[in-house]
Amino acid sequence: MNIQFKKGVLALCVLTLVAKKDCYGYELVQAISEDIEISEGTIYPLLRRLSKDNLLSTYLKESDGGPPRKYYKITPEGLRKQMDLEDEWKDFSKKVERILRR
Amino acid sequence: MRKDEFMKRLNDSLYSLGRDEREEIIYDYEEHFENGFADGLTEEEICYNLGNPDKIASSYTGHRNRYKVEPRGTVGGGIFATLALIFINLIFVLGPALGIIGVVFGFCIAAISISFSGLALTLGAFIPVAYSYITLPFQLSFITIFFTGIGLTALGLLFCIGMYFVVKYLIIGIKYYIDFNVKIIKGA
Repeated sequence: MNIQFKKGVLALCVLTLVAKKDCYGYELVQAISEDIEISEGTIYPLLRRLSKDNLLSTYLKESDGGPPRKYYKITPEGLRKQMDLEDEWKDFSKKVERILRR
Repeated sequence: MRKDEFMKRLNDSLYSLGRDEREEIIYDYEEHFENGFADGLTEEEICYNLGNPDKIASSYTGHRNRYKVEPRGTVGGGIFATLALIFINLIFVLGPALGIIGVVFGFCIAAISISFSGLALTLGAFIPVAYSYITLPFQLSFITIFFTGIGLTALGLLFCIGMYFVVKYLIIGIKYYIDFNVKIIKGA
């Protein structure tokens, strides 16, 4: 699949997952790579970009028997962005569907 | 690939970022490796799943804002924006910018030459032969030349320091403006 396109969809996936519950990086990577084949390394730059754009916020939380984990939490802006992206995605996939059925 | 090699290559490829940012990024991958080990994966497996560290690094250092589902702004718009920008830059920006750069350059040279002339005057005070090269309508004593030289050197150095900051902010300003242009062209 086209890389640019995948990246856009990945942002939607990450925002959606984090909107459901706060996640740490590794957890998100696992959750996404379960269904979508990606280089796991693409998720961290994305998380950083989303945080920089204030769509996600981060906090550290102790984990049992390991170093503290960085958790990601969605911001109100992130939630809005998630909804926008979801609409965009649905609209887009509907159009593709229409073309496929022609 | 082993963890050490992965981290080293990632760190090396991130050199263009500040140290704080680089450390923050590296931390994310340390955490990833820890979690991977806890899941019973080997270093090689984790590295393989992460992908090429150089490529990962380039997505931190490269252009931002790449997570739109659909690319916005058609190619036509991009070309129009680019042409308009070139036009505006040529007519309104280039002239004044070159003027300002020229003036600043002139001041820099002046600052350096004042410093050197001060230095020359200070040293020249010790060489009586040099007195004949300083043409003033009245006779100058050693002390006068010596302290004028020191004063002039100090003035020149101060001027240099001042110009250092002027040049620094000028460069920052130019970079900022170029970034702004690139953003417009890329349709961000």
